[in-house]
Amino acid sequence: MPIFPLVDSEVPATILLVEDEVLIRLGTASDLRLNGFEVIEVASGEEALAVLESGVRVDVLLTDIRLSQGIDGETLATLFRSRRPNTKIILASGTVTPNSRVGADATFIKPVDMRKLVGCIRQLLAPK
Amino acid sequence: VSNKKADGVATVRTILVVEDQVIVRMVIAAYLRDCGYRVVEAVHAAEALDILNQPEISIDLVFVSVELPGTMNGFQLAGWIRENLPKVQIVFATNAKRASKKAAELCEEGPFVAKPYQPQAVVDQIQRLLGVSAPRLDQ
Repeated sequence: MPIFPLVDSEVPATILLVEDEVLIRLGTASDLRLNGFEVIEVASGEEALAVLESGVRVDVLLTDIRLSQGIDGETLATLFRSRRPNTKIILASGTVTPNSRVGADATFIKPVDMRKLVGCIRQLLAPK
Repeated sequence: VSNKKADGVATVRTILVVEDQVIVRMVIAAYLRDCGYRVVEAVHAAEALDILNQPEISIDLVFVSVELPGTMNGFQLAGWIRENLPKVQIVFATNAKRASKKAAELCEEGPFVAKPYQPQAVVDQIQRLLGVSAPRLDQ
């Protein structure tokens, strides 16, 4: 039985959560799981790239813009946009205004309102 | 790791997985969640300490990689836990194969009683995602 399916199937949507502050990551991931999503937690852009390289299905990339080391969230989003065009991209930031060239599907100011975030994700993933 | 109440209703226990290899951490954490555990994740010892120092996040067991980046390896983290949180159990994982076996043992005694899938599937999954061939657990 696959733990993380490589192709679309009747499983909950998978969110790749990129957040370098562990307690924020833990809380956000827990809330998203309670709302029925699969969550892959990573602490850096480099870890997110390893997930990208692995071929694991990612429906939504939810990344902080500012990451304490390595590549930032916008660079990561740009890489996902080119390699996984179907992955929805949500940028979150405390202070930085997202660069519009990244073409994110949504942006959130931290602290993120979980109800609004969940609503946004469901809307982005709804069949068109 | 017995966690069954006398009436047979299992209490959900919380496991902290401390592993710096993202693919291993991702698959092991998912497996333990599928076994019914609440799982929280840390990339290195400093993150683990942040979590362990939060009294509202009650950790029952720490599943820790021996080799960790940063100032504290898995053994040193275990030493801190034994000194400061003696009730917290510790399981060491030295590599993906051993981590899968240990996770399967936890699942045997976990909230759902049975393993959701064989531990070899966990090893296979890790190796496949890392793009290398899987070692056999029985070897």
